[in-house]
Amino acid sequence: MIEISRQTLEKAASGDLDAFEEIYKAASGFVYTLALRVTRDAFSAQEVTQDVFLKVYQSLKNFAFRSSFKTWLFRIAVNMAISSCRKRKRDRKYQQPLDEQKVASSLDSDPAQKAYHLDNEQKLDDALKPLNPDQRACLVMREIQGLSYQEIALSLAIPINTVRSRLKRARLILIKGDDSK
Amino acid sequence: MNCSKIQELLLTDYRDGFVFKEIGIKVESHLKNCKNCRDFTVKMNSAIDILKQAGSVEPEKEVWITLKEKIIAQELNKNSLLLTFKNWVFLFWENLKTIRKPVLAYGISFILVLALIGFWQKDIFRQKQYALNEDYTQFYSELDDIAQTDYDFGTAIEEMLF
Repeated sequence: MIEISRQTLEKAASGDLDAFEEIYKAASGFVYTLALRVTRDAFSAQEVTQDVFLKVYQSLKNFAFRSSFKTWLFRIAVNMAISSCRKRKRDRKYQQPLDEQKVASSLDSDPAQKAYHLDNEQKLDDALKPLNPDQRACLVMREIQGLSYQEIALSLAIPINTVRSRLKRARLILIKGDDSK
Repeated sequence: MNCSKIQELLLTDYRDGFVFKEIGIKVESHLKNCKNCRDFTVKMNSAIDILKQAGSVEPEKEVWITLKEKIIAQELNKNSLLLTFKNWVFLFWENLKTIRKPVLAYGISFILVLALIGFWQKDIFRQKQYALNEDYTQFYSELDDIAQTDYDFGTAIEEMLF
């Protein structure tokens, strides 16, 4: 995630939509990726991304800069992604197969690359399927965003040892899933 | 360190680079001599590589467009009460301007006359109330005067009764 200056945050907090767009551009990739991997559904991920940034826009004026903006944003994103995942689990009829979903990618213009990309997405979706939403969130934050255990612990409001054990279990499940193919 | 301990480190701290140098050296020397743990590392890397290769995904442009619309709608909704009042005043003023001047003058005069009559009537009612109160006061004071005089029955019949 690109660093966002305090000045930009303050401008956005006072209702400057251009400054808020800057924040969105810097952080939307992370939020969307996290939501996509946790919910395993592109439409839900888009909804979560919108809800997260709407919440950020509403709450930014109350953000006191006591914690880092990054951690604050990650916490909102993780909570919303996990709660959307649980809500969707209760209402499975909205889930659609992956090939019908639009997974945004810069490679999608070329049909061959699009097919390769979709194949990879399917593999990744199969690998993430046996994990629970908390484990998926930890794995994405560590493997894609490169967050430290402490940053993950702060974002999820859990102890560092819980982060460690979730990552361990998630990786073990991934290895076992890979073994069974 | 046995394989179980090494594999636990491989799954967490060693893989993530959060181990002390000495422990790192021990893990590496174990890996040199243990094929089982080397295979475990290869399997783990290939399983996690799928996730790493997918990397960060950007949302579609429509997400921002919809979000922006939601924010604007929310801001408008917040100010809607104020806006409704402003619009009402504006519309009233605009409608007032469309009325022909003589009609408007007659209208305003009529409203003023009505207001004056209302005010005058209110004044008359107040005066009547004051006069009535005065009458009552006089009546009660007369009663008091009668009560304070020496007891007098006034008629022969009353004298006979008492």
